[in-house]
Amino acid sequence: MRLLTHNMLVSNAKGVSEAEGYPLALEVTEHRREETEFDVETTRKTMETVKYDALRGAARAVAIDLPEVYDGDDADLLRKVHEALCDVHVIEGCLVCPKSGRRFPINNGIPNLLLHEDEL
Amino acid sequence: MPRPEASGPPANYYDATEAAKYTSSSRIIRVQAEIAARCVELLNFPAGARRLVVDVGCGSGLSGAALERAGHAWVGCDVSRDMLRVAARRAARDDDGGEAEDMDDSEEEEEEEEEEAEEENGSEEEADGGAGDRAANATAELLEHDMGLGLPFRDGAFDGAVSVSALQWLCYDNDAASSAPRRLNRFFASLYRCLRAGGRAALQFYPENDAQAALIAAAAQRAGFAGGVVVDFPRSTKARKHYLCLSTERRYRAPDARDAAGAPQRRGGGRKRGRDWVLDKKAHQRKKGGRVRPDSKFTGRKRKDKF
Repeated sequence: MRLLTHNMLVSNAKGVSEAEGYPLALEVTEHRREETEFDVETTRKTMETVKYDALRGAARAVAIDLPEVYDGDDADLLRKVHEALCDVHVIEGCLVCPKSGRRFPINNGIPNLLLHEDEL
Repeated sequence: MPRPEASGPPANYYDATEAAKYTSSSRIIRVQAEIAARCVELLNFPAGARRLVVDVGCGSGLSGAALERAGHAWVGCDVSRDMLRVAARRAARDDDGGEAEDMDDSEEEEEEEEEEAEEENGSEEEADGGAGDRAANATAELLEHDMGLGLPFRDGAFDGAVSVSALQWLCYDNDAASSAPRRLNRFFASLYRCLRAGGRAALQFYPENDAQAALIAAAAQRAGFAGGVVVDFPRSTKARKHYLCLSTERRYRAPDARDAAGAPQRRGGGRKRGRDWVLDKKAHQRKKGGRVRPDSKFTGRKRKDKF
């Protein structure tokens, strides 16, 4: 799972509204980096749909420090953002719902967001 | 053969044996790829722009391949762990395949990178065979989730949604707690939320009967979607496919269905049985040496009602 996907995910456990269930806390036990091609324009375009604060929090879990404020004209920052969004793959770890504390395990790079019927 | 949907939840049906078919059976692969390509066509995105699409019930990732070909990034979710495992393996193998294809232009680079990769983690040879095509692979993301519980994505996360042969699974009550209408409503409500304004969805499904198709379409409408069911090749039992084409835009009209090319050949080649047809038949019999009356102005003419 890449952080770009993490940026889209929200917890839909019982009694958790979308505002409360986002972003999911990320716990990483194993991750891998695979360098992908960096392009300033593409990254800037991607960032239009990405919530920066959530990305910043997730990036901290894989030891990438992003500054507090996002600036779309800063090429160095964009490179860093690209690295966090696209290059990092979380292999093993856990996603935690910020409201209910429900844990969603990540195995083999695939997060499991299944809920039991009574958790809805 | 009974419908697999009647046998229980999809996570049970799509086990390791069933998942294996999606790599070994060329028929399944071909049919799925055709449907997926048609779904992408029905989404009808303006060319050029790269879109983020969610693939609901992605299974082994066959439909994702069509999205990648169209240049879109996708996130797939499926309830079956076994199918997802196949998808992850496919992504790894596609890497190798893609590499073999562009060998000629960047051969040296690739070899170097391969060596590096092997040094770094020798144990994961299959997954890390080459670094050259990683960008392509990186567009695929997998998620284990049941669509009947509602999609776990934030508002406006996606430009579009596709689904191949999955929606009909929502129409069965597998246990007392999750009734079909509830699952349908939850799915479409969450799909509506996670699509951006003007987002589109093309969802292919196999309804058991017309009532079921109507049920699914009604659930989509209740969630606020515009659009409807497009039935390709309605006259052929085999080629007939149902696509639910939806948009969050009010003005949206579902695109036209495909027909004709796939319509079954009628007897007599579909030609009217007129004079030409009679002349052709007579010529054919003559060639075979049969005794045929000469052609006249009366040939192929209809008799008067009173004979």
